Amino acid sequence: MPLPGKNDTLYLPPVIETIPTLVNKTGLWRFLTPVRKDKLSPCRALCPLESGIPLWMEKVKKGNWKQAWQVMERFNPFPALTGYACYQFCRSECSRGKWDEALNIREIEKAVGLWRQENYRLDRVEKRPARGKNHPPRVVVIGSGPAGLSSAYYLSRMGAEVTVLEKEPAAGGLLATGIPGYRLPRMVLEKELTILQDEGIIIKTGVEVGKDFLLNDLAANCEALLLAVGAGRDRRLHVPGDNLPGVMGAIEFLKEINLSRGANVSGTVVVVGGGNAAVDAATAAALSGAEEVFLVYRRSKEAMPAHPEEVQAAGEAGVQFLFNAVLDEIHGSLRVEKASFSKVQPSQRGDEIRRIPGEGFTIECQMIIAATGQQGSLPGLVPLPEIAAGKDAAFLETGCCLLAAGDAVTGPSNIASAIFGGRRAALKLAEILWETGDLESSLLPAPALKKGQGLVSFASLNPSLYPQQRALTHPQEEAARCFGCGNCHNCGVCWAFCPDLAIEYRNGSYEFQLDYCKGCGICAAECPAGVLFMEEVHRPGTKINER
Amino acid sequence: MNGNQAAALAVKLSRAQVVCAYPITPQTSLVENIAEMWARGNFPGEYVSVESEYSALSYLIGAAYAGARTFTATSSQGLAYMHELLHWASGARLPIVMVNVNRTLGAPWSLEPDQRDSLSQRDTGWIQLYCSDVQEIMDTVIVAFRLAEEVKIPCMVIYDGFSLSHTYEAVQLLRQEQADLFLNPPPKSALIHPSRPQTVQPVTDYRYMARVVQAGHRAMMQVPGRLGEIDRLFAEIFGRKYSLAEETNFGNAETIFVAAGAMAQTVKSFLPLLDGGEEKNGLLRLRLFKPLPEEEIVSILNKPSIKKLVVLDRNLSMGIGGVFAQEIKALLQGTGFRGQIFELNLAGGIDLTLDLLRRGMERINAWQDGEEKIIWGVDL
Repeated sequence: MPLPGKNDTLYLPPVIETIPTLVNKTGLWRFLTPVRKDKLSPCRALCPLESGIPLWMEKVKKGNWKQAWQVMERFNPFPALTGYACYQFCRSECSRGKWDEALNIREIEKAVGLWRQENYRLDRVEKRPARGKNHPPRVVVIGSGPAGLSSAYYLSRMGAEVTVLEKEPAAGGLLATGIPGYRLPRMVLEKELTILQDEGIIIKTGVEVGKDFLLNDLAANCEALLLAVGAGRDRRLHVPGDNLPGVMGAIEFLKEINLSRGANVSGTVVVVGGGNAAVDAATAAALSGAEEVFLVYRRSKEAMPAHPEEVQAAGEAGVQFLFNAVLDEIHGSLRVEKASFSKVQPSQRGDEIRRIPGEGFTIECQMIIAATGQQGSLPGLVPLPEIAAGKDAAFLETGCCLLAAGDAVTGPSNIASAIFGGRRAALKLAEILWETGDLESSLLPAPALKKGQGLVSFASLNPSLYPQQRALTHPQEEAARCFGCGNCHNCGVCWAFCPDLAIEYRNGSYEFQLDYCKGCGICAAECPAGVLFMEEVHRPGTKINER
Repeated sequence: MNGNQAAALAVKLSRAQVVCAYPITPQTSLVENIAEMWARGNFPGEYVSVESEYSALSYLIGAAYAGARTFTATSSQGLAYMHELLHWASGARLPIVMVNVNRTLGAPWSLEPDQRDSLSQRDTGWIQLYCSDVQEIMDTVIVAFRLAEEVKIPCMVIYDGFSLSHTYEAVQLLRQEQADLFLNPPPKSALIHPSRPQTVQPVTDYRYMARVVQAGHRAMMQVPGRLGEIDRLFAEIFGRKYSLAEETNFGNAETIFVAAGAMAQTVKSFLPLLDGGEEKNGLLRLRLFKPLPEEEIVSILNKPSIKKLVVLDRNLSMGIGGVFAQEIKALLQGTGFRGQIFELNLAGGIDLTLDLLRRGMERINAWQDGEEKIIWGVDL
């Protein structure tokens, strides 16, 4: 029997296999394979802008504001504006809300926006010639609301020469005329407009298409016309007396207040309607000198289309709500003196309105604000119904391309939806205006979400890695509370937990070394963002029951 | 200082490079002392926190493979938890030094200084040195590093919980320059390195394993001789002389007590009180227990005047008896020893008092043929 060493050996050096352990491919034992699948976070699913919230949040977490802005920019060029005035749809389903308290996403977005305004450096992109032309495409955007400005921003960044036309004396559309200053400080809007102008976008105010310009003349001198004219005029009340002096539309009223034309608000004001415009107008009236403000809505409080945040602000401003009542008639000889209402049965949206016979009331008032919806201002301007629906672009005889975006397409919505509309229109125009491949993808606005990307479930997260903690005021600290649902943010938890060293950090991200992964599933169980899943992946030529 | 402080200081003076331990009563203050020195920047090596004794020894095995001078400390359940790795450390011949502070093993929970924890690791291939006062703890830790590295066998330094770990005694401090003179520089035999991925000691067959255990045994048999040399070197540098097995016999003792740890020191101080100065009683203190220094012990015990041995065991191997007693019996087998061997068993951590020892001796002196030779401290 050959034995190493001798009988009197005192020490045998340890046996060392000089072949590294890497030769032993333990991954062959695996029957479940970890797979990374980024999922849709609830915040992003609810955001009208489809903003990649976890993506820029990750940068804020690290205090990297510049990168946060660069990520944000492709979804939303105006985080300062939305940071003030968005209704933060994102927050309602935040996964963090199921753990301790929903993340204050809007405040963090605001911080990114204000950082951008503070640290803005002129960064003009090289203008790129249009398809088949030797000069950059000239784009005229009609309307300087959020939709118009966002499309102007993206088109300019992509290399177009953009002119924005605004019929009001101030640019901003509803941002300037519809949203009260207490919700969106004017300085913030001004700064945003200044930045756009620095970037080379020409904004002309006080010019109206049809009056100062003809659409055809514009079309003759540009490659694309974008109609972002907003949802348009207030709908009439269609009751006797609706033409008396003292009756005003909500949009018109807000415009007057916000443009400081000195709307004469005094006495009692009645606002008819239940949407955001109604509530904004009522709040503005209450804050502008009205003695009493009533908001009359034909359905119950729960059925109000207005955002609850707005309703609460109105209540705090002193607005009195009267629900389940409809306006019958406006009385007055020379101007509004009183209005009579009928009570109706409580109803939900979509239900028919049923008056309760014999039950009604009158309110003595000096002003009535109609907020029962807006009617589009497009039909007169746009020849083709597809354009009005925002689905397609049309080409005029001059070769100019015509497209619509924002509230003009969707009807009254909100800032975020309008910015999204502008972003989508810009992408669509880019496909027409430039050869594909001409543009750097970093300059392009983010495309809309593809359908079918699964929503991340709370159960697939691992919140136990986060101490329970209510919302914090410091934006970066608050951002650190973000679970990053459904988005791998290179936290390295999988790497730390992998018992087989089968996850490696390479070139800035974590990668599976499947040759050594035994498929234990610890990484998937521990992943705080819920992006790792164990799946049966068949190797070619093997069947499960053959092993 | 107390025993734990003395051990911690000795670890520092030995320039241990990696210390990894998990706290357990009564060892806790030892680890805390090292951790505190480390936190204040006064400790030359690395101190690593882990979540269990198993991880502590695993970590040190890796560190020792990489060539570092390593130290850990534990007690009782913690030592039992390390059991599997005790074998690995000795099989791999890694010179890890460990302090074990004796404490009872559960169940039920107890903190008394029973010796079952270290004695139940008798066969793991570690050297075991038992200390009987605080000075000896400090000296033995530094001796253990030298011994372990010379013979490439891990070494356990053992002392009683509370009666030594927490009892303050006057100690002559070792000086760093003396320690540096006494100890070799840390071994530089790095078997593993992150830049060379490889398997150390993979699966082998009986042929290699047979040689590994045989070589381990042969090396273990060298320990008494090597320790004797190291003790002489220690005496030269520090002026204190230790022996492998310490004899207290004033000439013609008829009864010899055999004990280890703090109990031996206690018995030594009782000797003149027991027989009123007649010098009829003597003591054999076991210092090196694993391996037992056979030659020295036989020469101490195998004297014609000796009629009785009384082995004090604060431990018990249930179904056999005290572990020290069994070892002594086995060792005297075939040496012509004619005396009777009694066990005074204090298992469970019974404190040895003069009164208890007197009553035990009364029983032993009145012992008649056929009676049990284990005198139970718990019944006295």
